[in-house]
Amino acid sequence: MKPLIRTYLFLLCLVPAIVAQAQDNPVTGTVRSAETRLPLHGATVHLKESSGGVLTDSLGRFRLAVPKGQSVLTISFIGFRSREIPVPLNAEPIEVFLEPAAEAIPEVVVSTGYQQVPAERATGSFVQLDNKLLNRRISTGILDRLEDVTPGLLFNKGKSAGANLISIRGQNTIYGNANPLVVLDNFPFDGDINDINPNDVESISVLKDAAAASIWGSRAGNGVIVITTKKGKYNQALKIGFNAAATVGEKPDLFYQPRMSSADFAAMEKQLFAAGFYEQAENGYNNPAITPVAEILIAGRDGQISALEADRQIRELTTHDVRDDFNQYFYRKSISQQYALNLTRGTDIQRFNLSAGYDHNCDNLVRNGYERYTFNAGQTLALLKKKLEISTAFYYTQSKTVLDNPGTGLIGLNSGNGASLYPYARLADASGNPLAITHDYRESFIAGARQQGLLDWSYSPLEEMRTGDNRNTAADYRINIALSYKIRPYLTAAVLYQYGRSITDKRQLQSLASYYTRNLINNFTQADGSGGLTYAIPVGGIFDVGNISATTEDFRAQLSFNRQWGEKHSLTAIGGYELRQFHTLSGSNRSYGYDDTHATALPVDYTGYYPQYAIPGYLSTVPYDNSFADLTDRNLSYYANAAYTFLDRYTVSGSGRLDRSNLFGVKANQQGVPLYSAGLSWNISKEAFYQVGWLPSLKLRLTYGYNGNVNKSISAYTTAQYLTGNPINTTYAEVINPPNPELRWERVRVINAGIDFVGLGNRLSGTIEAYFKRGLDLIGDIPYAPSAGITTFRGNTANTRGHGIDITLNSRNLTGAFQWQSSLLLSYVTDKVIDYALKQDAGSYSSLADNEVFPLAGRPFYAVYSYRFAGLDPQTGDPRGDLNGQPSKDYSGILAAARPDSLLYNGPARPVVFGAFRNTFTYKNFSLSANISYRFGYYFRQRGIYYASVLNSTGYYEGRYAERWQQPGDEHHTTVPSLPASIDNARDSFYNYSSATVEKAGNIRLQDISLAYEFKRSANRGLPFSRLQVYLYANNIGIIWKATKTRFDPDYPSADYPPVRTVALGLRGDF
Amino acid sequence: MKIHPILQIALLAVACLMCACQNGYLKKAPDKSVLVPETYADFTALMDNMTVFNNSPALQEIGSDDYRTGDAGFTALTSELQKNSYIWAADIYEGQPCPDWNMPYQQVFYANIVLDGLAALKPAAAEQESWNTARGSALFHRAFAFYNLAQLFAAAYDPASAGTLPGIPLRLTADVNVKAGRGNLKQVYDQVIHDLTEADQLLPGQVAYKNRPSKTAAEALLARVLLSMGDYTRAATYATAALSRNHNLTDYNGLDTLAANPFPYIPAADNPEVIFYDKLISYGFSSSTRTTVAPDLFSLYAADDLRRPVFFAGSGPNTYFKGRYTGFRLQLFGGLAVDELFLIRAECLARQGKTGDALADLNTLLKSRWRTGTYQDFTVSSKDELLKKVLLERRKELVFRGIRWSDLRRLNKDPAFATTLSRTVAGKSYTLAPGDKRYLFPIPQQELLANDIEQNER
Repeated sequence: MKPLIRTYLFLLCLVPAIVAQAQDNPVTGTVRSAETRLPLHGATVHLKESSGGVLTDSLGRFRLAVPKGQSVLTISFIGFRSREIPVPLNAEPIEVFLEPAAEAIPEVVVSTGYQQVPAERATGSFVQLDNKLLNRRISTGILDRLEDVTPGLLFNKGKSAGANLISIRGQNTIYGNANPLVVLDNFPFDGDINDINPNDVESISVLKDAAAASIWGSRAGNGVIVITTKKGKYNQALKIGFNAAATVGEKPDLFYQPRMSSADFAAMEKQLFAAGFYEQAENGYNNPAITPVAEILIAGRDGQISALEADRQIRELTTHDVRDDFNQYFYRKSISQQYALNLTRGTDIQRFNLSAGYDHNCDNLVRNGYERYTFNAGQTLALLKKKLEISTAFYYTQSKTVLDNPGTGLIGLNSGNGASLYPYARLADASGNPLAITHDYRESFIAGARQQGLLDWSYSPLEEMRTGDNRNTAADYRINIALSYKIRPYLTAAVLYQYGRSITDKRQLQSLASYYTRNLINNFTQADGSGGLTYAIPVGGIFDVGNISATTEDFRAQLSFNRQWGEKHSLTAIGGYELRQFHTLSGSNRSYGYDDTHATALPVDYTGYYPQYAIPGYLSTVPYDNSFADLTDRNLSYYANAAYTFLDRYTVSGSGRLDRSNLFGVKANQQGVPLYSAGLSWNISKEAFYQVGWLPSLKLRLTYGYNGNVNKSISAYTTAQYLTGNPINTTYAEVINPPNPELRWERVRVINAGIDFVGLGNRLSGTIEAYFKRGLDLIGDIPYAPSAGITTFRGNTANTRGHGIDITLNSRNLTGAFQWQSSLLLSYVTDKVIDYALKQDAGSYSSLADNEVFPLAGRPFYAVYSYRFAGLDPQTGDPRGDLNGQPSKDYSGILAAARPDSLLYNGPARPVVFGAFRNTFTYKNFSLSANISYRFGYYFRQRGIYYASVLNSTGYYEGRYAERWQQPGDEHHTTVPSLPASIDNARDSFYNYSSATVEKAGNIRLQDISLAYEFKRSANRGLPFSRLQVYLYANNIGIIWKATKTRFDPDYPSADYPPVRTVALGLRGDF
Repeated sequence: MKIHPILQIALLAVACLMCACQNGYLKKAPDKSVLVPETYADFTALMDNMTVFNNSPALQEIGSDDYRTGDAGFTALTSELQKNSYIWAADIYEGQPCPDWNMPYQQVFYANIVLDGLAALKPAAAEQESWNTARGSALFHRAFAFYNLAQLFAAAYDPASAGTLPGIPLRLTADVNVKAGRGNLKQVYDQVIHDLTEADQLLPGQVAYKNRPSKTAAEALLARVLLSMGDYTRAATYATAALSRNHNLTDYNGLDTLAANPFPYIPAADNPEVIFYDKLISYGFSSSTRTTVAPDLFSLYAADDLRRPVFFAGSGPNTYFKGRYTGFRLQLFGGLAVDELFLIRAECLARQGKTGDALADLNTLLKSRWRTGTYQDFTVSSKDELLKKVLLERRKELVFRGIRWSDLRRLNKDPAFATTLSRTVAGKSYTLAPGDKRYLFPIPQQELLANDIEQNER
């Protein structure tokens, strides 16, 4: 066997076996944990027959003189089962593996993606989340499980927060990528985060400061989330784990956002009709749709129906609220099912893991859902006297997302304009059959077109939803190979390689049943006047397909050093080289005249200009939706990291990394960006002078360093992008970047100071950290003279400053049969833009949406600004502002006089103080855990009222109309202004962005409760499983307190509805 | 530390691999569609960008007397820019950016990128034509942009004062860090004429698409520029040169007068009368159904003049313009066409006293515009009467093309043709007298904040 393995290794150009060198008596060796293979520090090694023994050093090593006649060694360590082994006959160093004792206190080891660091010797800011904590929450995605259990990590909630969902210790970039780096088992993960099955995750480390994260260099600027999946362990019997859960979510509350009532809407239509508002549409050249009540009024005016009949019809129409239809036909309770099975096993030289998962989610939106299959297999072989480890891992995820139901947000009088909906629209008749609503064109026009032989032009939202056919499928696989060879007991060389590929296919068929298709075909139809029709778009479905194929390749070569000299000195170091390529190919393609039965499509002329049937005088080409992209992201990096510990008390650490990328022609890139960090820790409680009895463990940490961020959208050279779609059907180019030879990479300087402690008889433990951040050379805009050909210039022009505190306290309040544990997370974070040259006009700041950033020097990134509101005029209900220190109704004047610096700065738009308080109670086999989360110190803007919309008959979203000032005295209980006589945009803008619509967002909510009952074999010998847990988990339970008196959930003021309450029931067990 | 020989070999191999990778590994383009423009194809692609090029200022059209809007239409105008331009307010922009300033300068920037790029190329003999076309096109576009800017932001040209009145910043390099002052008006027109004269030498006679400049276009633009300068001799020369290449006039009798768009959509289709395609920046006023033709203008068209039904639709006070040479509802034509050349030459000849030739041009044009058989050749007794007639026909022919403003500025210097503009909005009347300071648009605030240049007083 041995020669064969040698040949195999030789062919792989890998390291060969080391010829062992003969040594003299005494016995030397290393003691390691059989589970983690990490050295055990402080294990006792003694001869069975004598009392003398030694302790292992921080690398687990020992050296013991063996007098003649002694033959058995005893090795013991707290939390592990002791072992007895015969004294070896030759003098070769021995390796002893200790099995953990049941219920052992786990060693806390954090993973950086490059190495495992015992928490005790870390200098940086790490958060380690174990399997148990991660499994507390039930979810399809893994990132959800970090919420409210990770200090310093904030979920940016709300309607538009999707892009940058998570921020770790605030944001440090303006136009760069603001997302933390996700690392999955050694390598960055750039795929869909939902491809990771949470049941496969063993632990997560969150790296927050420079010392922890700078090993990731130019991608570490936003923090790093390192996900480690479950692996088999050496010398472990077969373990089978499973989890099955079903989560039911309530139907969303569609009445969360106020909407204009049907009665108010119809009354407004009457008023507008009397003022002649609809005449423009009646005589409009493009036959625009007119709302039903106005149509009835027109019919009444023209004598087609009597006034009495008109009134009756209007009354009948307006008894309805369209949201009842949405609720009945578009929404349902959501159900998510999750099943996972996990197998691990290990022998002395081999270990493996095998897992499979299946998720099936039925969305709140009828017909929409998600389905996921995951499969993981990993194996590690220890060969050549366990000097060589060969690991292979395979991950596969396949998912399908069904998006047949487009939601209700775009249903309106006009295509794609949800605000144009009339609230009394009826989507179905009494027996649930779909009804057409007035849409885009007047009924008389539609009837005329029908007579000409055109396709039916009516629009029924319900029919659209029921015939939708829109799905994405994705397959993602990754293959990992790692070889590591122990050249010396203290020196390991490793080579790692990963190949990953994800393929996403999007497919949307808009058949002839869909309005989009009929509308497009009709508009491209020409009638010759004598019944003949020519179609520029063939009659048939419209079929859009798109595919994205992303390939990642990672290669890493690394040397690890781990050695102790005597009892005093120990050094761990790694150094390596890394190559990474991320290549994305994507394309999309549209076919017209598609016949799904036979999979055939018909050709169209994309270059001709065709008159539009419904818009006289307008010409258009047939929409051409084919596109391609070919993107390559390459990185080449060198990194090194070392930590030296003296007397187990003092640790000095340093880390450096040089990154180079194929960022387009950046001069600075030729040198790359060197990023480094340095750290210190002092285990003060191990000092002889330390005598604080109630606080037996106390450690101080301090780090300093730089993390980076890349913005690949700009370049040092003039760059242009090729585009298609100009009227002469040639490709054309657009300048996307004027030359910028000074371009540099963004850097974030971080100083972190921390204290770790355990005290009060081990009842209280915790970490307190303070940090200071400085964003340097951030990419920002500065204004340029437009005569230069550009109006703003994007370069390294911004600097930011931030600081904060993260506190974690864990306490065991009660022990014994009834246990009570508490965890308190408290984070404070502020950020401030210090240098930013570009000032927009004041209106840009006051009208910021919750995901927009217009940095303003001296203010946080995300901030709320407003015009000063001076109350409603008691006589007229007009809003009043402040102009030159006087109350004023000169709205144009107020807007024109406003300057960014003179606006009222209400405060940050993101929480300044946040955290969670978790309590867990255990009694016998029951456990109950509740998490209360809180966020303070920030502001939100609630929607005001746009009378321009109300007076344009598109006031559906203007739900606060009912709260408006109507008579003197109302100003005491409302700030919503009176209805103006005519549209006054300045009045609307002033009120909507005044301080009257700004609210404090602070809130405390009962986030979730988990209740579990556990059956243990230790208690019931007959059970076939070692452990079985039945659990009930409720999430999004409710708000306990909020600063605002409005109806809104302060974190979701503009969402259609806040997250729904969910309840999960599950079963988890191990065989 | 002794390293095993095979390990040494392995490490060496890895080290070689690292070195090999570094050459070229990082040179891979991150996005295939993104590039540094440096080939003729790239330059052509930049100049085929019709969202940048082929756009001319339009605020001056709002400020001139082609159209009228009522109170409702005025209120419905979507931006303060348009409202203020309509009533010649002192402040036009109210802090908002001004596309009429920014867009021509964006064209200058693009043109300069091409010119700077071409300067770095050494064309082989076979590439000389591509090089010439690219340079000629860039010079033409830059000159057109400078000329357009001068019509709004600098005074009307007068040889006596051109050396002292401020011009507009002349940006002659793509380097965005180079600042340019206003210089004087003479420098602006010298640069425009210099660039166009060179473009005339370089450009091909024929182009595949009319968004691309041709020799004819360079000459036609020279004729327009020289006319605005009052250089009637040279304007006539260039008009003749251009007309010798293209004198196609569309016979309006062949057009469908009822069509919403009587003219073909260019540049996708062809209109032989058009020499160079350009559109005015799209503002709401041009597509609003409440924008009507000024009644005094509409009343100038005779019943048999086909321009009446081809250019206009609607009735009474709701008569609106539809005769766009762009052939597209939302876009007013701002380019160069043969009809303008006939009118330029007729005017120049009339001013030079060459009555016969001037009459011939005028009658040739009008014959194609009137109902077949109805047009009576115009005859004339005096030079003045002829000039008056030519200018009247110029007024009637070149409507809604952004040209009227320049004509007003030029003709207002001659008391015989000076016009006072007036309009009423919400009961308040506004007038713009000949030579008013408000014939110069203010320099936008964004420019003044970053470039220390003189503002136009209004």
